[in-house]
Amino acid sequence: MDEHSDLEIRIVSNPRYICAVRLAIESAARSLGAAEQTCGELALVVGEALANVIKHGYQDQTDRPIWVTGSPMQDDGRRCFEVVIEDESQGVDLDQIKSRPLDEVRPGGLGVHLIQCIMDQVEYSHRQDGVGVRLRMRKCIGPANQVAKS
Amino acid sequence: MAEQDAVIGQRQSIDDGMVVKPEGEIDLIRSPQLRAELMELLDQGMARLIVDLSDVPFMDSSGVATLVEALQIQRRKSNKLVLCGLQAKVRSIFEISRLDMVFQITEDAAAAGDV
Repeated sequence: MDEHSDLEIRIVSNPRYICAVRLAIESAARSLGAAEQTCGELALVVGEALANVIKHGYQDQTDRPIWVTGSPMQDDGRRCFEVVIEDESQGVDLDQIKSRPLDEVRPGGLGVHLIQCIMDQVEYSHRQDGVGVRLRMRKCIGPANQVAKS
Repeated sequence: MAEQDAVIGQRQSIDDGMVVKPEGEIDLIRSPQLRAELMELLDQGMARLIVDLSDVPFMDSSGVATLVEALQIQRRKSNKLVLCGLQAKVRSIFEISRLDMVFQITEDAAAAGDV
Protein backbone atom coordinates (compact mmCIF):
# COMPACT_ATOMS: atom_id res chain seq x y z
CA MET A 1 0.00 0.00 0.00
CA ASP A 2 1.05 3.61 -0.48
CA GLU A 3 2.66 4.86 2.70
CA HIS A 4 1.52 8.45 2.47
CA SER A 5 -2.08 8.32 1.35
CA ASP A 6 -4.58 10.59 3.08
CA LEU A 7 -7.34 8.00 3.21
CA GLU A 8 -6.95 4.27 3.77
CA ILE A 9 -9.73 1.70 3.91
CA ARG A 10 -9.53 -2.06 4.14
CA ILE A 11 -12.60 -4.18 3.50
CA VAL A 12 -13.29 -7.83 2.88
CA SER A 13 -14.60 -8.72 -0.54
CA ASN A 14 -18.25 -8.65 0.43
CA PRO A 15 -20.43 -6.47 -1.84
CA ARG A 16 -22.23 -5.07 1.19
CA TYR A 17 -19.17 -2.91 1.95
CA ILE A 18 -18.91 -1.33 -1.50
CA CYS A 19 -21.40 1.37 -0.55
CA ALA A 20 -19.34 2.42 2.48
CA VAL A 21 -16.20 2.87 0.38
CA ARG A 22 -18.13 4.69 -2.33
CA LEU A 23 -19.49 7.17 0.19
CA ALA A 24 -16.06 7.69 1.79
CA ILE A 25 -14.44 8.48 -1.56
CA GLU A 26 -17.31 10.77 -2.57
CA SER A 27 -17.08 12.60 0.74
CA ALA A 28 -13.29 12.94 0.52
CA ALA A 29 -13.49 14.35 -3.00
CA ARG A 30 -16.16 16.81 -1.90
CA SER A 31 -14.03 18.00 1.01
CA LEU A 32 -11.19 18.62 -1.45
CA GLY A 33 -13.42 20.94 -3.42
CA ALA A 34 -14.34 18.67 -6.33
CA ALA A 35 -17.51 19.54 -8.25
CA GLU A 36 -20.60 17.59 -7.23
CA GLN A 37 -20.73 15.72 -10.55
CA THR A 38 -17.07 14.73 -10.18
CA CYS A 39 -17.69 13.45 -6.64
CA GLY A 40 -20.51 11.26 -7.92
CA GLU A 41 -18.41 9.97 -10.81
CA LEU A 42 -15.53 9.08 -8.50
CA ALA A 43 -17.91 7.17 -6.26
CA LEU A 44 -19.36 5.32 -9.24
CA VAL A 45 -15.90 4.37 -10.53
CA VAL A 46 -14.71 3.09 -7.16
CA GLY A 47 -17.86 1.00 -6.82
CA GLU A 48 -17.36 -0.47 -10.28
CA ALA A 49 -13.71 -1.26 -9.59
CA LEU A 50 -14.55 -2.98 -6.29
CA ALA A 51 -17.33 -4.96 -7.95
CA ASN A 52 -14.86 -6.15 -10.59
CA VAL A 53 -12.37 -7.26 -7.93
CA ILE A 54 -15.07 -9.21 -6.11
CA LYS A 55 -16.67 -10.77 -9.21
CA HIS A 56 -13.67 -11.44 -11.41
CA GLY A 57 -10.61 -11.27 -9.15
CA TYR A 58 -12.02 -13.17 -6.19
CA GLN A 59 -14.77 -15.10 -8.02
CA ASP A 60 -17.39 -13.90 -5.52
CA GLN A 61 -15.48 -15.05 -2.44
CA THR A 62 -16.58 -12.72 0.36
CA ASP A 63 -13.68 -12.97 2.82
CA ARG A 64 -10.67 -11.76 0.83
CA PRO A 65 -8.90 -8.45 1.48
CA ILE A 66 -9.23 -5.29 -0.61
CA TRP A 67 -7.33 -2.09 0.18
CA VAL A 68 -8.43 1.33 -1.04
CA THR A 69 -6.48 4.55 -0.67
CA GLY A 70 -7.28 8.07 -1.75
CA SER A 71 -5.01 11.10 -1.95
CA PRO A 72 -5.00 14.59 -3.43
CA MET A 73 -2.21 15.08 -5.98
CA GLN A 74 -0.72 17.74 -8.19
CA ASP A 75 -0.43 16.65 -11.80
CA ASP A 76 0.82 18.96 -14.52
CA GLY A 77 -0.43 22.00 -12.64
CA ARG A 78 -3.83 20.54 -11.93
CA ARG A 79 -5.33 19.29 -8.69
CA CYS A 80 -6.15 15.60 -8.92
CA PHE A 81 -7.58 12.91 -6.73
CA GLU A 82 -5.83 9.56 -6.90
CA VAL A 83 -7.45 6.31 -5.87
CA VAL A 84 -5.51 3.05 -5.58
CA ILE A 85 -7.25 -0.29 -5.17
CA GLU A 86 -5.24 -3.40 -4.38
CA ASP A 87 -6.24 -7.01 -3.93
CA GLU A 88 -4.68 -10.45 -3.62
CA SER A 89 -6.42 -12.07 -6.57
CA GLN A 90 -4.33 -14.54 -8.51
CA GLY A 91 -4.12 -15.46 -12.15
CA VAL A 92 -5.58 -12.21 -13.45
CA ASP A 93 -4.28 -11.47 -16.96
CA LEU A 94 -3.96 -7.68 -17.02
CA ASP A 95 -4.17 -7.64 -20.81
CA GLN A 96 -7.66 -9.11 -20.59
CA ILE A 97 -8.99 -6.17 -18.55
CA LYS A 98 -10.52 -4.08 -21.26
CA SER A 99 -13.63 -2.16 -22.15
CA ARG A 100 -16.13 -3.81 -24.47
CA PRO A 101 -17.54 -2.15 -27.61
CA LEU A 102 -20.60 -0.09 -26.79
CA ASP A 103 -22.35 -0.68 -30.10
CA GLU A 104 -23.23 -4.13 -28.82
CA VAL A 105 -26.26 -3.74 -26.57
CA ARG A 106 -26.07 -6.45 -23.95
CA PRO A 107 -26.04 -6.73 -20.17
CA GLY A 108 -22.71 -6.66 -18.36
CA GLY A 109 -19.18 -5.56 -19.13
CA LEU A 110 -19.78 -1.85 -18.65
CA GLY A 111 -17.72 -1.40 -15.50
CA VAL A 112 -14.32 -1.12 -17.17
CA HIS A 113 -15.73 1.24 -19.78
CA LEU A 114 -17.10 3.53 -17.07
CA ILE A 115 -13.76 3.52 -15.25
CA GLN A 116 -11.77 4.37 -18.37
CA CYS A 117 -14.27 6.94 -19.56
CA ILE A 118 -14.53 8.86 -16.29
CA MET A 119 -10.96 8.77 -15.01
CA ASP A 120 -8.10 10.72 -16.60
CA GLN A 121 -5.51 8.04 -15.86
CA VAL A 122 -6.06 4.32 -15.30
CA GLU A 123 -3.24 1.87 -14.76
CA TYR A 124 -3.43 -1.80 -13.88
CA SER A 125 -0.33 -3.56 -12.60
CA HIS A 126 0.64 -6.47 -10.43
CA ARG A 127 1.37 -5.61 -6.81
CA GLN A 128 4.98 -5.22 -5.79
CA ASP A 129 5.10 -8.56 -4.02
CA GLY A 130 3.70 -10.18 -7.16
CA VAL A 131 0.47 -11.38 -5.54
CA GLY A 132 -2.64 -9.53 -6.62
CA VAL A 133 -3.59 -6.57 -8.76
CA ARG A 134 -3.04 -2.87 -8.21
CA LEU A 135 -5.36 -0.40 -9.93
CA ARG A 136 -4.22 3.22 -9.83
CA MET A 137 -6.69 5.83 -11.07
CA ARG A 138 -6.41 9.59 -11.16
CA LYS A 139 -8.96 12.29 -11.93
CA CYS A 140 -8.53 16.04 -12.21
CA ILE A 141 -10.71 17.86 -9.70
CA GLY A 142 -9.73 21.44 -10.49
CA PRO A 143 -7.01 23.92 -11.37
CA ALA A 144 -3.98 24.14 -9.11
CA ASN A 145 -4.92 27.48 -7.59
CA GLN A 146 -8.45 26.48 -6.61
CA VAL A 147 -8.98 26.66 -2.86
CA ALA A 148 -10.52 23.57 -1.34
CA LYS A 149 -13.67 24.00 0.69
CA SER A 150 -13.07 23.82 4.43
CA MET B 1 -28.59 -15.83 2.55
CA ALA B 2 -31.17 -13.43 3.95
CA GLU B 3 -34.19 -12.72 1.81
CA GLN B 4 -33.95 -9.24 0.33
CA ASP B 5 -36.59 -6.57 0.59
CA ALA B 6 -38.46 -5.76 -2.59
CA VAL B 7 -36.81 -3.13 -4.79
CA ILE B 8 -39.95 -2.20 -6.67
CA GLY B 9 -42.23 -0.17 -4.44
CA GLN B 10 -45.29 1.14 -6.22
CA ARG B 11 -46.89 -0.70 -9.15
CA GLN B 12 -49.65 0.90 -11.15
CA SER B 13 -51.57 -0.70 -13.98
CA ILE B 14 -52.12 1.32 -17.15
CA ASP B 15 -54.13 0.55 -20.28
CA ASP B 16 -51.39 -1.38 -22.05
CA GLY B 17 -49.13 -2.42 -19.20
CA MET B 18 -47.74 -1.20 -15.93
CA VAL B 19 -45.70 1.56 -14.27
CA VAL B 20 -43.25 0.27 -11.68
CA LYS B 21 -41.26 2.41 -9.29
CA PRO B 22 -38.03 0.94 -7.85
CA GLU B 23 -36.84 2.59 -4.65
CA GLY B 24 -33.37 3.23 -3.25
CA GLU B 25 -29.89 2.60 -4.59
CA ILE B 26 -29.55 -0.18 -7.14
CA ASP B 27 -26.12 -1.74 -6.94
CA LEU B 28 -24.46 -5.13 -6.90
CA ILE B 29 -26.34 -6.02 -3.73
CA ARG B 30 -29.85 -5.08 -4.89
CA SER B 31 -29.80 -5.57 -8.66
CA PRO B 32 -30.40 -9.38 -8.44
CA GLN B 33 -33.59 -8.64 -6.52
CA LEU B 34 -34.67 -6.03 -9.08
CA ARG B 35 -33.93 -8.54 -11.85
CA ALA B 36 -36.08 -11.18 -10.16
CA GLU B 37 -38.98 -8.76 -9.78
CA LEU B 38 -38.75 -7.49 -13.36
CA MET B 39 -38.50 -11.01 -14.81
CA GLU B 40 -41.61 -12.04 -12.91
CA LEU B 41 -43.49 -9.08 -14.37
CA LEU B 42 -42.20 -9.64 -17.90
CA ASP B 43 -43.20 -13.30 -17.76
CA GLN B 44 -46.79 -12.08 -17.55
CA GLY B 45 -46.30 -10.24 -20.83
CA MET B 46 -47.22 -6.58 -21.19
CA ALA B 47 -47.12 -4.26 -24.18
CA ARG B 48 -45.57 -1.43 -22.17
CA LEU B 49 -43.47 -1.51 -19.03
CA ILE B 50 -42.61 1.92 -17.64
CA VAL B 51 -39.81 1.96 -15.08
CA ASP B 52 -40.02 5.15 -13.05
CA LEU B 53 -36.57 5.79 -11.56
CA SER B 54 -37.40 9.01 -9.75
CA ASP B 55 -36.82 7.34 -6.36
CA VAL B 56 -33.47 5.83 -7.38
CA PRO B 57 -30.62 8.17 -6.39
CA PHE B 58 -27.81 5.85 -7.55
CA MET B 59 -27.39 2.96 -9.95
CA ASP B 60 -24.25 1.07 -10.91
CA SER B 61 -23.52 -1.02 -14.00
CA SER B 62 -25.18 -4.09 -12.49
CA GLY B 63 -28.44 -2.15 -12.30
CA VAL B 64 -28.00 -0.92 -15.85
CA ALA B 65 -27.31 -4.49 -17.00
CA THR B 66 -30.57 -5.59 -15.39
CA LEU B 67 -32.52 -2.95 -17.32
CA VAL B 68 -30.72 -3.87 -20.56
CA GLU B 69 -31.78 -7.47 -20.09
CA ALA B 70 -35.38 -6.40 -19.47
CA LEU B 71 -35.29 -4.20 -22.56
CA GLN B 72 -34.06 -7.10 -24.68
CA ILE B 73 -36.88 -9.32 -23.45
CA GLN B 74 -39.48 -6.68 -24.22
CA ARG B 75 -38.04 -6.08 -27.69
CA ARG B 76 -38.03 -9.79 -28.53
CA LYS B 77 -41.75 -9.79 -27.80
CA SER B 78 -42.27 -6.55 -29.76
CA ASN B 79 -43.18 -4.84 -26.50
CA LYS B 80 -41.88 -1.59 -25.02
CA LEU B 81 -39.81 -0.70 -22.00
CA VAL B 82 -39.62 3.01 -21.19
CA LEU B 83 -37.52 4.65 -18.48
CA CYS B 84 -38.52 7.90 -16.82
CA GLY B 85 -37.66 10.21 -13.94
CA LEU B 86 -33.90 9.65 -14.04
CA GLN B 87 -31.98 11.58 -11.38
CA ALA B 88 -28.70 13.22 -12.38
CA LYS B 89 -26.38 10.44 -11.18
CA VAL B 90 -28.48 7.77 -12.85
CA ARG B 91 -28.80 9.73 -16.09
CA SER B 92 -25.03 10.15 -16.10
CA ILE B 93 -24.31 6.41 -16.20
CA PHE B 94 -26.72 5.98 -19.12
CA GLU B 95 -25.05 8.83 -20.98
CA ILE B 96 -21.49 7.63 -20.37
CA SER B 97 -22.40 4.15 -21.56
CA ARG B 98 -24.36 5.67 -24.46
CA LEU B 99 -27.43 3.72 -23.45
CA ASP B 100 -29.46 6.92 -23.44
CA MET B 101 -29.50 6.38 -27.22
CA VAL B 102 -30.81 2.82 -26.82
CA PHE B 103 -33.52 3.20 -24.19
CA GLN B 104 -36.60 5.33 -24.61
CA ILE B 105 -36.26 7.83 -21.76
CA THR B 106 -38.84 10.43 -20.78
CA GLU B 107 -39.16 13.03 -18.06
CA ASP B 108 -42.02 11.35 -16.23
CA ALA B 109 -44.46 8.47 -16.33
CA ALA B 110 -47.15 10.54 -18.05
CA ALA B 111 -44.85 11.23 -20.99
CA ALA B 112 -43.71 7.58 -21.02
CA GLY B 113 -47.27 6.56 -21.77
CA ASP B 114 -47.16 8.48 -25.05
CA VAL B 115 -43.93 6.95 -26.43
